[in-house]
Amino acid sequence: MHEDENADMSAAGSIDPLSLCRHGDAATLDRRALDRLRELDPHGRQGLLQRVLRTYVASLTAQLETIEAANGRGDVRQLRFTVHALKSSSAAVGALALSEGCAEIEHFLRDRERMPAAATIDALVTQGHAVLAAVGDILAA
Amino acid sequence: MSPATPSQAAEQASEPTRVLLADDDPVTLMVAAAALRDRGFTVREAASGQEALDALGEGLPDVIVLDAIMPGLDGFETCRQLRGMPGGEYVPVLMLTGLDDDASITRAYEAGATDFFVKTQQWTQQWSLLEGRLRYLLRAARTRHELERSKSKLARAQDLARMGSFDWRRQGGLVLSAEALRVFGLPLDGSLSVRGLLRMVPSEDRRVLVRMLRSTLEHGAVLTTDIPVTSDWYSGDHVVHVEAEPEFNDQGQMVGYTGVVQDVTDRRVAEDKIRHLANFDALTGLPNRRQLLWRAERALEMARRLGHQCALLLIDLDRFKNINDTLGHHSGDELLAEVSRRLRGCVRHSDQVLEAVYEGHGMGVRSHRSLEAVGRLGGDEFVALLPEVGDERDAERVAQRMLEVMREPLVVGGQECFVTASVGVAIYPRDGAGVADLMRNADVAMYSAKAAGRNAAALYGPQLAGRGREKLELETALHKAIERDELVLHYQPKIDVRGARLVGVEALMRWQRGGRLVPPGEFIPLAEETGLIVPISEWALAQAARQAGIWHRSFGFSESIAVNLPSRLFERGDLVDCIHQVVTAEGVPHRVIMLEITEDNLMRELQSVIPALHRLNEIGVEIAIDDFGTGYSSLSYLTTLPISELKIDRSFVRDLGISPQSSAVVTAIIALARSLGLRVVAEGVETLRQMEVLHRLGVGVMQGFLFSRPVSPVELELWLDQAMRGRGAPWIVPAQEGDPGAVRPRVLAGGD
Repeated sequence: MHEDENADMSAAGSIDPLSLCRHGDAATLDRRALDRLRELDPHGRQGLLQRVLRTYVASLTAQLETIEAANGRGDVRQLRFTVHALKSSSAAVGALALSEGCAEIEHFLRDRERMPAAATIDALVTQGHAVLAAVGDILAA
Repeated sequence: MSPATPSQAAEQASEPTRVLLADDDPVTLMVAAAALRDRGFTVREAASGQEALDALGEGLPDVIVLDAIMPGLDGFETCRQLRGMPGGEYVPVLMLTGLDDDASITRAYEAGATDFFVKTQQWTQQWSLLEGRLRYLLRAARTRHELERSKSKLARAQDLARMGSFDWRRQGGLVLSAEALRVFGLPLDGSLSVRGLLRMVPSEDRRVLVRMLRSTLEHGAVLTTDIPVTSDWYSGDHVVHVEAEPEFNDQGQMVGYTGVVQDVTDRRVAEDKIRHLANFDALTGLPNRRQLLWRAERALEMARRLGHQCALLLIDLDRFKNINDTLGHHSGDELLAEVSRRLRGCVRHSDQVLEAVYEGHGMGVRSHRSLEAVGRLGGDEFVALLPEVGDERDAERVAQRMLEVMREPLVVGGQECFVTASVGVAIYPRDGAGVADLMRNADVAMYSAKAAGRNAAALYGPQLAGRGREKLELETALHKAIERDELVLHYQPKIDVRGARLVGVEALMRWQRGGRLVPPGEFIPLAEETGLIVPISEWALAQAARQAGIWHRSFGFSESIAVNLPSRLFERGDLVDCIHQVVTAEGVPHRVIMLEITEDNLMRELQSVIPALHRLNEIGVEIAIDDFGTGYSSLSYLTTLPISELKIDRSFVRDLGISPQSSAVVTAIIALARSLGLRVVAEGVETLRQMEVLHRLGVGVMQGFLFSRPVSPVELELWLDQAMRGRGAPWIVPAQEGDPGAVRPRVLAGGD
């Protein structure tokens, strides 16, 4: 599936923003992922979920800024580290769509070693903000 | 913390496995750490490669998990650096890589990672996968560590055993392990070709070795051999043991050998030492009995095969016991060592340890010459083996040479002394077909040389058969008899029949040998022949003096005890001193000892004996002439000799009343004694009739079974007691009848 996507991307020369929107419920967090996190702290004594999500909010906020900055500078290396990290952390908290988006951009950067289309980055950032909002809701709940 | 810890920790449930986890993403780090802790690991989190390296300073973890992609120090570089840190080379490292990131996987291995783990999108939901991988990694690390340890143990063991392994390929040659190089005294980075190895082998062994190697390779046989190795850079000669097995390819062709080499020099030295100890006499360094008999067997085999004669010479030192007793054992040993040196100089002595190897050395036609040697059988007995003699004269010449080299005085313990030897010669095949026969017959011949006066060599001849050995046994036993107190003195009273009183006793020696009482006639001649008569006589003198003292205290005994001495004792300058010593030690006067010397003995050595007789007389020791009448005494000498008593030989007494000559001789002796003022004693009086005749002829003092057989000291006291009361003593009656006034039973002993 990834290879197909890679082929699409190489054919198009950019990432189709719509491909990010295929995950319609992009802003919602995967329940199973959250359950897994809860399992690691079954009685919530360590407040693990809260800590993870708060950390995620902090790092995501910073990472979105970094992404925009790197994009502005055309800093492929910086962008790659950031999406690599964001891919992991997003998967961990269940922001699977965002994680996948990061993975696609990471692949692209690794293979092409140039910046993807601006629209692709914008879409990722937009998605990131949506996730931020969703996480904020969970923390507030 | 040692690299041993990770594996051991993993074994022990009580000690959780420590994981160092490095990821630059705080969320991933936090979640992964929580997941691993949930599964029982202890986790140290590091937010960067650098932090991970720093964390190593706190102690090595059991396993390290590194995210490959990190800003700054990435996972690869972190891994590379940690591998260079002390202890870091053994810690298992798990690299986290992207899903289809083949390049990273390759790089991870290149950087020294132990394994990689692909982070799928779901990886944070599947912790058991990561856990499983970590557990596997720890187990592998433990196995690997154990392997390393056992490898280093093996290397250490090989090193200690001076052992190493090697591999030889038909194509590719010889490869030696570091330990094997050390065995050959080569530097660790050195190498050794087969050719080079052969160069280290002394040329005479090399040919044998090459032949053996060829044959082994040809047959694809197991290789087991000892190689003598010597080289300039190697200290001394070494022996390297090689053991190797062939290896074959699928077609069954031998392609090489693999095996071990071991420096067995020490073992060989020890073996040689043991072999030497087992084959050579420690005191003299000569081949011992075992080695000599072995050589003799080989020499006989060769003689049988080649049809020549060989000779065995048995050499026994004369009177060695005297020397040992006089000078002490230490000097005795010194003397034996010197004698050994002289004897070995008389033959082409070979010191080689000869044993099974002998056969392997390719016997040349004359190789049996190397068997020639002088060996020590034990004590003062030596054997010379002459593996080839032309005839008996060859052997005799060697024997004569041996007697000659003994003539030079020996200096032992700072004292000059002389020693002679008697040599017996037996020739193969004439005097025996086997070693045992030859030894026995050489022994017989040697004894005949001793009997003929010692310091001589004798060839074996059938006329000698059956003589030496019994004597040897008897002699050995007699030696021990003194040490074991097997000798005893019995006493026979001398009675003055006119007064029916005891006027003295004669001491007669008995040997209690294994429950039997051996009469003197059976062992005194041998004692004289072997020289043992000297210590035996000295013992007898001391014993007699002691008994005189005991009886004196017991019943006032103050007569003399007559001790028989051979003339050679009189020749010794120290006889007077000896008697003085023994009587002084017992606190009895000199006159309690009387000495008897046979007429024969006296006349034979008259000139050398006379001075001693005078000196003995001066100190109060009386001399009696025993067996008088049988010899050819020069009567004129008798007048000048300081003697006190003549003892008429028992043969005359026995024939009294049967042959008129006997009474004539007795009458003549009495007349002679009277004219010289000597006492006369009749020996061997067994009947009352003999007593009466003697009495009539004028003999007053008698000795014989009629009165008492020779008895033990205790029995003698009992006898005295009985005789005093006149019970069971028929001889008292005629004496009383003859001269009733002389009967003084109460003063039977200790009389005037």
